[in-house]
Amino acid sequence: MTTVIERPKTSQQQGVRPRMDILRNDEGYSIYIEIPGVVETDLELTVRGTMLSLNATTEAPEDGPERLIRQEFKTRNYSCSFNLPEDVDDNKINASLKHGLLTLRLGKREEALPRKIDVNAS
Amino acid sequence: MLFHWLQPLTAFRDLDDAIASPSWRLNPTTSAPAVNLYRTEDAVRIDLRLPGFAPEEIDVRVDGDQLTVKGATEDLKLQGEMLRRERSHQSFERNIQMPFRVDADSIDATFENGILTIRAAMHESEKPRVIPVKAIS
Repeated sequence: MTTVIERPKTSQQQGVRPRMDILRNDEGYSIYIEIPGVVETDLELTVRGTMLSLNATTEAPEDGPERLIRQEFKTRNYSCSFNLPEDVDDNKINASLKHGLLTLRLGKREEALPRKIDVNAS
Repeated sequence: MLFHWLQPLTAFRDLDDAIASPSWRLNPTTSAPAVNLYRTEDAVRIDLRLPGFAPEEIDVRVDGDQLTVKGATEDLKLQGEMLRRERSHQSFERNIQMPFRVDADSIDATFENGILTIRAAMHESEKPRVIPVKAIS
């Protein structure tokens, strides 16, 4: 007799969805994502097709003699994913992390950039 | 053309809304940073969540058992049309009551990856004292 063990859903391992701002301008999009406590090496950003995913897992510091007496934030693990707009060129994605704030710059495809039309005098 | 113009709004919609339901969503625009407080017998540690701030933009003051942390960050050059706004951009001031009076000389504040950590030792006057019992013969 075989027993099928279903793999438990991994929602426990999923981090919380971080707060973010998203802005659009003529050249592209800027996304500012709050991931305090995360260092670059713990951060994974992937683009698969039109989907961009963020995963950050930080090991919890070892338990010391300290006792937690008030807790308003819980995790240094974050995850989120979203579809990129059609006009984003996935070769033009830049990411930088500073003081717990991740900045993503998504450039638009060439054909989506605004073009200046020269007016010829006749 | 109109369809294309509207498209980015739906594009950034979350795929994992159903999975993640953190409590901060109840009040996503709160400007007071979240705090965790730890203690031992004679010391206290306070962690504040301050992503995007630089250390020089944060001011820490202690008076007895009252800790005040203030900050004002230079606004990012947020140019363009805001499609989503969840972060707080205002300056903040947070007052925290510590479990005991602390020794002002022992206070140490460090800022790492957007988390401010303040450590302080208990003030001498708060420590329990052992009273020697003298024998009278």
